[in-house]
Amino acid sequence: MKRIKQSRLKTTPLVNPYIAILATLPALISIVVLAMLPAVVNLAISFTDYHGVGQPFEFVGFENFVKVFSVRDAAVSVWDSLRNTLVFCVGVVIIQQALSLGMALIVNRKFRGRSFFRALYFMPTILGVSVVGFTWQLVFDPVSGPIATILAKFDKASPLLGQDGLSMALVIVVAIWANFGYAMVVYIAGLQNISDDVREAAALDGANGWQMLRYVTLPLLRSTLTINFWISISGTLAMFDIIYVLTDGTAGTTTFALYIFKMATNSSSNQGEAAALYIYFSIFVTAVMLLFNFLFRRKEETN
Amino acid sequence: MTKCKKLRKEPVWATVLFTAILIVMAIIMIYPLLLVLNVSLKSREEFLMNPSGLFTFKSFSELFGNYSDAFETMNVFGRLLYTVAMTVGSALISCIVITLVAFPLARNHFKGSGKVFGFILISMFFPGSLVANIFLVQNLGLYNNPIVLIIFWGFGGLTVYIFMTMQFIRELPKDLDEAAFIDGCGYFHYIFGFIIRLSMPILSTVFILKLVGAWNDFLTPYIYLIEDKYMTISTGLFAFKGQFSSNWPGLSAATFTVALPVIVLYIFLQRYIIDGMAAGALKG
Repeated sequence: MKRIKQSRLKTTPLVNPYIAILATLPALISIVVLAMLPAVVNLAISFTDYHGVGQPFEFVGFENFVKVFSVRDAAVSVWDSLRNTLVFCVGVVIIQQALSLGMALIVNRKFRGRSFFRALYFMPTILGVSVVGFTWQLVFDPVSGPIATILAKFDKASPLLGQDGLSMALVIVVAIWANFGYAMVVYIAGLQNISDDVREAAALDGANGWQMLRYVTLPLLRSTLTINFWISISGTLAMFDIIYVLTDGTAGTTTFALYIFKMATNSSSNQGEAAALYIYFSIFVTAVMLLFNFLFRRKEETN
Repeated sequence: MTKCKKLRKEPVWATVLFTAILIVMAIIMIYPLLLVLNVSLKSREEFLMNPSGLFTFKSFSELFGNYSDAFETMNVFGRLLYTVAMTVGSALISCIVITLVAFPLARNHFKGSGKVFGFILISMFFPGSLVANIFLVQNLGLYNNPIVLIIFWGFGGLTVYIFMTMQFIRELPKDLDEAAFIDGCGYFHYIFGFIIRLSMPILSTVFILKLVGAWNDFLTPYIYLIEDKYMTISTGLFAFKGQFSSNWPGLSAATFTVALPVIVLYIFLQRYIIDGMAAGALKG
């Protein structure tokens, strides 16, 4: 009976839909509990002065959302961290995208050993942040690191990662070193989607190398460029672990994400304020991404 | 793939320039790791006297002295066993949970499966919150319980992989499903017996990426666990930094010890890892 009834449905008649739903439950429950619930809990905490498990807390309204801007935690304010985020993000995204696109074009040529170079440039992506962090701390060690040795030859010395201003530049270098291989691989995948016919046609029309790049390759790479910038911007805005290992946010390297991380993991700080900052942070990221969408779409229209 | 000889050959100067760039970049990528390896093979005195020179060989026991120190300080053998169990276990759980959800969704096995797919898609836009995660872990009594690693690694961050696996399963022939179900093969029996086996190409990629991600995640154990014995190898490296204070050879040996398994895995599986991560980006 049941079989006949089900076979009228367009879906596969042989499967009991309830058993199929049962199969999806582990994943759906995980997504609800691990991806959605925290956002709701965070919203609730942001209206309280919760300090930690077992401690009494009460509803404080929007107080946290105002207070976060006046709190000066370890001499770094929210505004400082926002400015640092901007410097970090602009520095990493622009250099990383230019470098990875350039290297993708070079690696994607037909030559022996290209998969070796591709694998080598990609390698830091799979090294852990703690490994990358300590490796570069050694490179930038102000006493016995190779950079210090070179500086000493010119009778110069610098605390490197400990020096205001320079520190951020070095952190940007490390972030690019660790991640550009990933962006490069995405560009290579995009380049391989461009058929040889198009390039051949352009070559027959007498396009030189530069013209080929400007008028054939780049326009066809448009969607890959958009995806890659998107990944890079959203990833860089949220990135804090590498900074945490390298400088611990000293010398002007505390970004917004790191600022919130330190507040959230500091057991003596008001978790309500940290929760409020998470909400500001997601608004900030959403705004940046909307602006990005707006700019990229406008560009698409003018082209 | 046809070779297109009509494409203009690149001029010699361009080949030379590009090759030079390739080699310079290769040196920049590999140098920091060789530096760590070099320093890890020096004794502390040797490093203080001559930090930038190449290590000198005296005897094997001296050469690997820092490694035996690091192994002892970090209890590397026990920690490796624990880390492998936690990372492999959670990566396996991920693969099972992903296949279980991807198969019915890819085949539209129930009404509203499209809506469920949309629901999963929407979940990607929910911002994460460490404050809420810590709150939940502490209030559920899971603080300092290594099960949190399985929860976050095994059951967390599945979305992109669900999409990748769904796409793969859609390409598998439907006839096989029907034949099996007509023969009376149970739903779960079919998923575990056939779909998981047929999806091995994509699931092995998911497994490797999940494994490497968990192996390298030093923050999750650091945030939710207290006891030393619960720290994984990456976290151990981070947590023990203080014990290597100003002992760069020791810290270098520890760093290299943590990096080596990943590098070895990468050398053998680089194609899977690179393609998998690129695919994740383009589909996510």
